[in-house]
Amino acid sequence: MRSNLTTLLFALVAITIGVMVLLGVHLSRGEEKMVRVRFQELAQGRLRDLDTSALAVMNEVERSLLELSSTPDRSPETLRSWVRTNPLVRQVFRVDAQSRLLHPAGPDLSEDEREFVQRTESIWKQQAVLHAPAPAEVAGLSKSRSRVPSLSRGAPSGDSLGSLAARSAHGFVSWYWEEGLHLLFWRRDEGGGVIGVEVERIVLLSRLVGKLPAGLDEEGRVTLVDARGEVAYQWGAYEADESAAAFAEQRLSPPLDSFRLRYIPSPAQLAGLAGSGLPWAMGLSALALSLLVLFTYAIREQRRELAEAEKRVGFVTQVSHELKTPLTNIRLYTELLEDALGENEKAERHRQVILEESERLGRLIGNVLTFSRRGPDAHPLRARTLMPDEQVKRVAEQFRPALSGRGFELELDLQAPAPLRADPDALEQVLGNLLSNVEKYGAAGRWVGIRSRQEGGVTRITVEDRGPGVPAALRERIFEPFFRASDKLEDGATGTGIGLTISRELARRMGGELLCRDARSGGAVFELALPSEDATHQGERA
Amino acid sequence: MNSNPIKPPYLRSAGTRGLFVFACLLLGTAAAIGQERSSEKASEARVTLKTQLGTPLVAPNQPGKVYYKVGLTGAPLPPSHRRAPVNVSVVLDRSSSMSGDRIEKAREAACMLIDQLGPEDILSIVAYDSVVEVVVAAVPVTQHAELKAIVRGLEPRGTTALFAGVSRGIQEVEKFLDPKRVNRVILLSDGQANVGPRSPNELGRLGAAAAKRGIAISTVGLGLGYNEDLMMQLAAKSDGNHAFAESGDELARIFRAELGDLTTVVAQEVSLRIQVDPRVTAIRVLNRDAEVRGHEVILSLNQLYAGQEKLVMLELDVPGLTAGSSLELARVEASWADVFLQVTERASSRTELVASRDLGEVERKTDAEVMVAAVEILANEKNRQAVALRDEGRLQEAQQVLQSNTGYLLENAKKYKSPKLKSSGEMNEADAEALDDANWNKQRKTMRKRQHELDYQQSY
Repeated sequence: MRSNLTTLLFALVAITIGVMVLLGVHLSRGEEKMVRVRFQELAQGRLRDLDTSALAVMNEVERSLLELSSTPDRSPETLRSWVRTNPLVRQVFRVDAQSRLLHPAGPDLSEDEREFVQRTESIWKQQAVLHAPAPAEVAGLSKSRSRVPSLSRGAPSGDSLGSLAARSAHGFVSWYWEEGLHLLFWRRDEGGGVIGVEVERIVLLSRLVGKLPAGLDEEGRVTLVDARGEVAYQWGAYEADESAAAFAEQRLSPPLDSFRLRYIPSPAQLAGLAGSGLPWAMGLSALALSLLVLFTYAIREQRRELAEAEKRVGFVTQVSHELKTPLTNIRLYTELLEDALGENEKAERHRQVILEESERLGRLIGNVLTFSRRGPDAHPLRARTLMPDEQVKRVAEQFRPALSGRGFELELDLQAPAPLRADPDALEQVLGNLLSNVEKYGAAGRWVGIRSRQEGGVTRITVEDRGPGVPAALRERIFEPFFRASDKLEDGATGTGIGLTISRELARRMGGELLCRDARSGGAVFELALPSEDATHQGERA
Repeated sequence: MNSNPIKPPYLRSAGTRGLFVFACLLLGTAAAIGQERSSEKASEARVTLKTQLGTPLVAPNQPGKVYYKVGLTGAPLPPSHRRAPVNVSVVLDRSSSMSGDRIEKAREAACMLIDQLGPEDILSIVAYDSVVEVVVAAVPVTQHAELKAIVRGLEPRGTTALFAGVSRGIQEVEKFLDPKRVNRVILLSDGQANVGPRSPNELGRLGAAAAKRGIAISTVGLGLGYNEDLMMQLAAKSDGNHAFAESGDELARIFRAELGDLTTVVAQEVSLRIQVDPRVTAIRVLNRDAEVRGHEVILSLNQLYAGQEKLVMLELDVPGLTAGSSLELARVEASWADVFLQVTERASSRTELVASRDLGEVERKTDAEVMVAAVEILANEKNRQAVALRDEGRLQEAQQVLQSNTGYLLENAKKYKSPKLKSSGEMNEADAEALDDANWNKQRKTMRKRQHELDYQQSY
């Protein structure tokens, strides 16, 4: 019984902790997610700053190309000198308003120039529809020798170089050819022509590398990825796997938008994010520990109290037992006194009271002792064959003086002639308790009826009064120990609250039952059913 | 007309038996080549421009190819000279493959270099692995001990971000870009570039762009794991040196040689413009990148060294000339920046081609020095072709090319009494025998290194 309780308590603690852990994990996950999002925002911001650096490189390139091309001299010699001396310039073309190639032209072209003319033909011939390529398109095209120029700064798709030049004075156009992105700086010429400068891609990239951070300047890893998804440049202390997932990604601003910056956090950084769960785990552990301590304390305290209560019960039992001997003597001498008192009515009345009260005290002690030895420790019952009506009559006669003293009319209707096997003391105790209850609670009806019947091998003894009765809802609960239908002292009722409990237990131990029934009169009816001798025998035989 | 498939075409106009027969029918006179210098400070000039035709006299009515050599030679420095200050970025591969002896030797070599530099010089040190780090940003070299301590602290790790390393090296040199200093990036790598752009073509373009700013990139390949094509392109396009060190032990020697090169620079920003007669076509420049545009050839060299000739070999297509007539074949204009005087100097030269009926004289006037150089460079081209064939797995064809190259070189060695061609021939013969898989990696690196050395007249 106690170990069950302990198990239950531990189960409770375990469940509570479990629920809290789940809750904690959920909460900490939520928090982790939040920290992650914040970290991601930070990384994204960092990448945006880096994009600004890249843009600064581009602006510098643009400025220097604008400066270079600001000389009015457009002779082939000058244009070629740009190629020869400016690291940013790979090649230069010049077309007139009718898209006729003015440079490089003529029969005497260098090999580089011939290749350049071929590579940019679709652009200066205005055939190319310049548009911004989708990433997939780029990936597909970069492998093959393709010429899909793409415009990447400030113009809607479907433009040719000529229509671009009609709108603005200069700009960038990018297109894919062999090894990847090529960048063309174009500038509107006098007379509506256009001059186009192919930017040396590798120099541009080299300058980007020079402008971006280097070495171990980052705890994670930042990579600059080209259109083919290959790392062009990287920095940061974390040696990331190529397949590592990026936390944040930022496409560079046009015209470098074929490049992306990716931020890959180090495992330590990730662990740092998840680390916010640690206080949770610690908090939970502490809580679980304190709960355990608390429950353990409670259990120990309860055990201690139980032990103390047992001692007290033991004490009460001992005392009750000790009381029995003097009480027996009191009763004996009171009965002896009857002859000595003679006709003295007053003394006789007093003696009667002493007798009644000592009997009541005897029942009380009997109840206490029976109650204290409930369960496996109970005294075994000694069943004997007895005549139920005689037993009832004897108890009724015992109570008659007290009952009539309180104005009760006692009506006996006994029709159970067959004997039955029962412990006479137990039967007397049950009947005594029932009548004692009538005396205590049913005084208002001033009537008590005891009936006995035998049918179907069952002897039924009912005790009925015309008092306030027991509300239907309480008819089972009144058999619980220490339950009292009314605790109001002004009801005048007294009692220990164990009478009905032990009465039912005794009835059941004798193979019978004690029930509280509805009475037609409105009072209380208690029915004690006991198996008759035959039935008992039959039952035992069965 | 010629049974030897690799016999250079110029032999059609000079030196075959068939031509002797034909030449006997002709009468002719020869006119000497002319060369003049327009530099006002001719006597002080530290650079000499010399233009030579392999065959200044040709047989009449015989159109064909001629070889034209343009040489620029730095004057030897007087013993008391003060060398030009240098602006060097040492770019060191510190990827994990450099572990052990290699990084040790690389550190030693770099420290040796530091010891040779002074407060006039600028040094920067860039180390790269998966990421690049400027370990010493460009500074005048005053704190030798500190610099060496930093170099000694370099530990290997990670992969090979070669492009980023070179980019940073160039950037550091650019900080102190000055015509009076010799600007150079020295790249050491033992591995394949595996982060960032890595094709020889792309790196070559980076080298070419560096050259436009007067920065040469010398590349040192260490061990057998590096990409020699990439390293060579980077050096070739920027007019730097290329070296192959099979083991770390060779690094100190190579760095010393590189430094020797650096400290004997007399001129930088060298440009050449060669204009040929409208009737003549410039076919190509055999040993260097150049803008070849019909009748005009423009090219630049990064620097010229004291006591050393840098040459440009042109292949020209000339028309048939009537006997006794001549044509002004080419006009050469050269300009360079003198690193000591801080002035731009110029020189020009004219070369005439004369048709002579006297084939004996045609033969006698043939310039052996030019012919030897031309043969060497042509054979070098064949040597490169053999590597390409071997790369395609056409081993036998590669072997055939090298074998006939050997024959061609040895034949000409005899003809021009050139021990240089003889040893070149022997080397080709050895190459032909070393194409098998077992040796190929090392062999290829050796061949590439030699090819570069020859084309660019590398001093070491």
